[in-house]
Amino acid sequence: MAVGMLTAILSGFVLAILAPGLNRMVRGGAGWLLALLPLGLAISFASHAPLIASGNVFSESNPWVPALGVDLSFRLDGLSMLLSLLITGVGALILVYAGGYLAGHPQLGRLYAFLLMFMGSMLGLVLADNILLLFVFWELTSISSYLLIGFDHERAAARSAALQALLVTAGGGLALMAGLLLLGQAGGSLELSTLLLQADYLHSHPLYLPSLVLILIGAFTKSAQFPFHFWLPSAMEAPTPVSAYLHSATMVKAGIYLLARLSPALGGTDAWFLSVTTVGGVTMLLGAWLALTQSDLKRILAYSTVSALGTLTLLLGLGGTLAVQAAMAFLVGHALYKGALFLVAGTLDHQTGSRDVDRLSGLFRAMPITALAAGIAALSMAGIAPLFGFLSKELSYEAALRAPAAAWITAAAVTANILLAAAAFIVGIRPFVGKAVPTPKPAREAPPSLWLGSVVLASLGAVMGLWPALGTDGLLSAAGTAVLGETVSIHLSLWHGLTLALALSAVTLIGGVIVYVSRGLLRRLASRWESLGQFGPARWYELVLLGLNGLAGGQTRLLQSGYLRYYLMIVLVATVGLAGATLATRGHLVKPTDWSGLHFYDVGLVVLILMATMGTVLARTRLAAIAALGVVGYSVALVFVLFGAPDVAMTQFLIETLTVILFVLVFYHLPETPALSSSLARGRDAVIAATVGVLMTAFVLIATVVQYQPPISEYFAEHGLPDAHGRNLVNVILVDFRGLDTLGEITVLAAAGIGVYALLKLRVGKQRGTASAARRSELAGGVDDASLPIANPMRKEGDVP
Amino acid sequence: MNLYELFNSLAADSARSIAGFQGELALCVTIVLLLLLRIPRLTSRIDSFFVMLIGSSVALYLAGPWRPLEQPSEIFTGLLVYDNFTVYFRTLLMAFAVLFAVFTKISGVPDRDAAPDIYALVLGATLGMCIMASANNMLMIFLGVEMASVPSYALAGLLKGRRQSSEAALKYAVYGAGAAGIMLYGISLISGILGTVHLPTMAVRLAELLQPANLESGLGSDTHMVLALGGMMIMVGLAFKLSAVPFHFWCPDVFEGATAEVNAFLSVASKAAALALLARVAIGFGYIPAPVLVETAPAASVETAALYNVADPPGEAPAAPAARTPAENAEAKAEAAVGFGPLPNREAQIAALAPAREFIWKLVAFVAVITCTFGNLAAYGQTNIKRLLAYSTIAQAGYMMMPVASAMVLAGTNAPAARDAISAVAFYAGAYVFMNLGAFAIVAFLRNMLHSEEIADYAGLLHRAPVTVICFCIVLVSLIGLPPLAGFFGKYQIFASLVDAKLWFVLFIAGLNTAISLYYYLRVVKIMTIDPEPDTRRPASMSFIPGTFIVLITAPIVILGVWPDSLNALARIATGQLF
Repeated sequence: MAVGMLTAILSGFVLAILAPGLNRMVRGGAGWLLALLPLGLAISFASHAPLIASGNVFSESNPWVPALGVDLSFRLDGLSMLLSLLITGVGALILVYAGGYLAGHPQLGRLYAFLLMFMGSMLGLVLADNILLLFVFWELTSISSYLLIGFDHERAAARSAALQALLVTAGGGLALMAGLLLLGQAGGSLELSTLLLQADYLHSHPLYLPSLVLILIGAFTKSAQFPFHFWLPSAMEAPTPVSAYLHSATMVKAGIYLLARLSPALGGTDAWFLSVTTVGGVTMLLGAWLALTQSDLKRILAYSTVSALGTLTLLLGLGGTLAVQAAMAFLVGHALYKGALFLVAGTLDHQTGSRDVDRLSGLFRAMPITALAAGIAALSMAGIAPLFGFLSKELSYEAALRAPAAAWITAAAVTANILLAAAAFIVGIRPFVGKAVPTPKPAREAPPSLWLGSVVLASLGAVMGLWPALGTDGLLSAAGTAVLGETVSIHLSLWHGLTLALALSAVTLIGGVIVYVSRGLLRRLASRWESLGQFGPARWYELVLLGLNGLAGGQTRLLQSGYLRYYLMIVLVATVGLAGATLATRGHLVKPTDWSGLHFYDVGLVVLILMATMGTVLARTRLAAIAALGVVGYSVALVFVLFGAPDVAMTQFLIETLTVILFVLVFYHLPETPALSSSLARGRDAVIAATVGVLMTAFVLIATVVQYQPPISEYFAEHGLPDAHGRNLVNVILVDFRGLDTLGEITVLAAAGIGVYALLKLRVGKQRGTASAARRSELAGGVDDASLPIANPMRKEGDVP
Repeated sequence: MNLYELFNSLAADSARSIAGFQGELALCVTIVLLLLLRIPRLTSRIDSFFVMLIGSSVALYLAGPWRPLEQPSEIFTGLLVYDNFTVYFRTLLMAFAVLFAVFTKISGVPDRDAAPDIYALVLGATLGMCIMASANNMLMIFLGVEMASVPSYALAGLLKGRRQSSEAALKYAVYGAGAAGIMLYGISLISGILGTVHLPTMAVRLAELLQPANLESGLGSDTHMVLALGGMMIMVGLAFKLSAVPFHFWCPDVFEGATAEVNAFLSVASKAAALALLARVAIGFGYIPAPVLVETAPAASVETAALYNVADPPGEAPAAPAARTPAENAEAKAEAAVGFGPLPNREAQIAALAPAREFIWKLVAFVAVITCTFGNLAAYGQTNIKRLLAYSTIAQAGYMMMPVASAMVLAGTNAPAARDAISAVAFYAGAYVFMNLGAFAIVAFLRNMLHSEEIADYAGLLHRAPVTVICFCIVLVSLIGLPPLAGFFGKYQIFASLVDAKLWFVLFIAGLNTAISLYYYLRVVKIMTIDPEPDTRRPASMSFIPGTFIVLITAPIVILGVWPDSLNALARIATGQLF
């Protein structure tokens, strides 16, 4: 390409940054000016259309994150060309339209910026050849959609719609990312062009099914397929140009694009056929039915878009030359007439102040140009003969007739199309015919910026229908080739002879008129079923959010109570559970059998420790508890002495003394607190404490049996005399083997002593300032372990709203 | 060997070691300066901010080398390892110290009186974290964890006289002390069984203990269980530092009670160091690295090692060709005691460690999965931004632990993929510096502006402080992991490592959690950007300097999103010597 694809994409982002400034400089006309970029891009793309149509593929690649195998690689083939033309062409019209629609809006510059950012992202999405790059642009379109839906944030509905749309599409995007990762893992590459060539290998790969499901979730959320369709009508809160551009012509087609793009790699299996056609079919029917039950112009269009997206999905699910041809033709046709109708709906809203079909009538006289465009687009949507909509509908009927389970699919397609034809009349014809009624604003013809878009799109639909050979064939063939992975050639023509498809078209048209006429009856019928709506997916979405909220709240209340004692309890129970499970399943206790080495003073010591521990727990005053704790500590030190670790014993004595002194110093100044826990809580704590004790005992018993390395005492005994020249092993250990340790201990003790001295001085100096109190309690917490009795009722944290 | 020789060899080793320890020494000097300068009347007027800034900048400069090391080496007789991984994390930590200094100066917390204390504590903790990241010895691991933790307890209680803050500090300290005790118990069990505290030697012995012949005959199954329990106990200590469930309880309370400045420090530096340590320990027990260059002369190192590792008496010739460390020499004696033969080569050792790796990845993956799920769910309904971010840090810790599990799955069979997994951690930790520092900086500045830390009070803030809000949105979206921001590439690499390791369940949970996290991060975005501004808000605006700081911190998130290779290349260099 003359202009690099990367440049084309980036230009959108660059202009997005400049747009607000430009809007300030060129008051009023900025839309026209900004539209030059997409227009230029569209012309540039179009100039390559003949080459693409003749089967060429352009690709370019720049290194990005080589270590991850991610390159900025882009690929322009028939499919991406088709969508790029739509994105840039419709984009230019939308920018012009937005300038007129929101003229004088203080945030217009921001809207331009978001629109251009979206355009760049969408271009990136359809041009990317690397699946990771594709994902990046995919999520960028979701984010720009969020910004655009929330643009008009005066209304609460717009705000929640924006969040809903983003949650659904970005959540689906995450599924897509997981699916793409799996696909990349299965295919061994992140490049689409490589992946698409390995269909057979991928189909038999064990990761095929998970990746297919995840990718489909991503595509279905983006393209508003059942059961994720509910976000699209809510997203109609966005300003109309946004709805026309994102939620009809381009962004919602991203899911369709992905399905089409990946169908050579993923398609052609039963899983693909069943899931894609079923979801597509259900969406098609549901969307068409819901469209008819609405009275808001934009909501009618939104549901009919859902239905059209369902049709596209259905066609792609069917696969095969004919269905893909139909899908490509329908993709273009739909973008043209639906874009035009959305713009008309916006124009009507802008010029009359109402979007309610029941309040608009007889506007042809006041707004002839708009009416003309609307009429052509509506007729195209209804599938009337020389227009492009007719061609695409004809093709899809033919595809449906040849599909497996043809009767069902054809019946569904005809039903949906009848309903959609009626919807087309309601939107495009009904407001302009009949008797003129007064509207909130007196109706006047719109300025050129507001009718240009719909006129261009509607007349394109007419022109392409009348002269299908006008470059369309080649482009659609190239797109079909890209989707199918094999060369196809599409020849559209208005007259196929007297075929069954033609008969079905006629049936559709007649049915559409009948439904249109009896729409009042249908709507009354529908209102009776309205209560069913509360079981719809939108309700599920709310329920999921509510449920998550409840689950989160409950979990947090349960675990994060704000009380240290409960925290410790959870940790202890978890430890006992995990370690105990390991011990119980894998270990076996070795009962000590040899009691001969036991002396009476060992037994005495053990009894002393046990009694002192009980004393600590049961003591009524703090000082008594501290004293008892001290006894425990000294007794443990005696154990060290008895079992030949005098240096450790020495340290233990010192630490114990220091701890007791500190405790006394700190606790002496604390107020006495009454016993706060109930006897039930005490019992529970006793049980937990006992379990922990049992576990630790078992653990110690096992640990002592294990002996891999020789005991360290042998080493000392062996090396004491030759290396350190000392016969008194205790002395040798303290001053020779662990001389530096001893030095360190002395230093630490000295430092701690200074600390204690400073604390005492500080207390004398300052009268019980809060600062020193806080420091003292910290010090106490730091020195002792978790046995610090915390009786203060801690403030309960407001963890959950 | 006489005293003279001993000192000589010690001096020679130290001189070489200090060359790789200059950054830490600069930190030490700064700490001393901070504390001493305020005593003389003349120097007490110096703003300690400048001492901190210059000290940490010098430390950052010295933390280099600013080009990759060709060979990893052990310093201080094998206590620390000096490789690119050490350099990466050390640079990260010291860069954070510099940013932290600037941040606190701008936000005005701590005030000038408290500043020397706070800065000294922060630098002391940073020193401990550097040791955590470079630890090569169980004692250094414990020492590092404690050096990082104890100042943190005091930092959490920084707001003197505020009850909530003191309570948080107390909870933190009690928790930390308990976790440290359990960890120390685990360390002593494992070291006792393996007869050394030198990590590479421990791995070699572990390999001997776990070699297939022993496993088949059931020899030493008790030993294996004690090792497993010891391993779990060490994990308790690590989980505490990572604030992983169920040792996370301190985190939300501390984050709500402490100031946003301290939170930034705890959530970024502490987490990065804990992750580095987790990776070190996991790799240390699950893998035998390529032979390490020992810079000291062999004879000297034997003696100096004996000074520290009493259990490793000087012995016969080295048995295993790999890991030629002085401690290795005890090999022959160890075999004689129990009868497990040494393994022929490094490949056999790595293969023999398979059960250890399986244990580690299962443990890490389990903790990661529950941490991530708990954190995300708990963040769901929070109304206080600091509490929300606290749970978000817990959840993020869960994500960041996942690649360690992947690496352990892959290490035996596919070392390059395992290295990629660890570099995912390194990349994420790097990106995380900007994301979480950005988040807490914005919270601190908004606190100064609005006098509130409630999310509801941020409503419609876009009109009042557009730049700040846009930056905050970028930070939050990056924390979710959406493109095209730094967080996306971090998360992508994490997910990719899980795919490589075929840890489908973990991948599923991670994906699900990301979907859950969408809601609560985006809720904040929505409140700030599109909810209407309350009428009661007093006129206030973000002043220029804080705004600039926010923009400068947020810019790398965008830059790393568009050009991730800049950090990614460094992360890959950092992990290149691990496998």
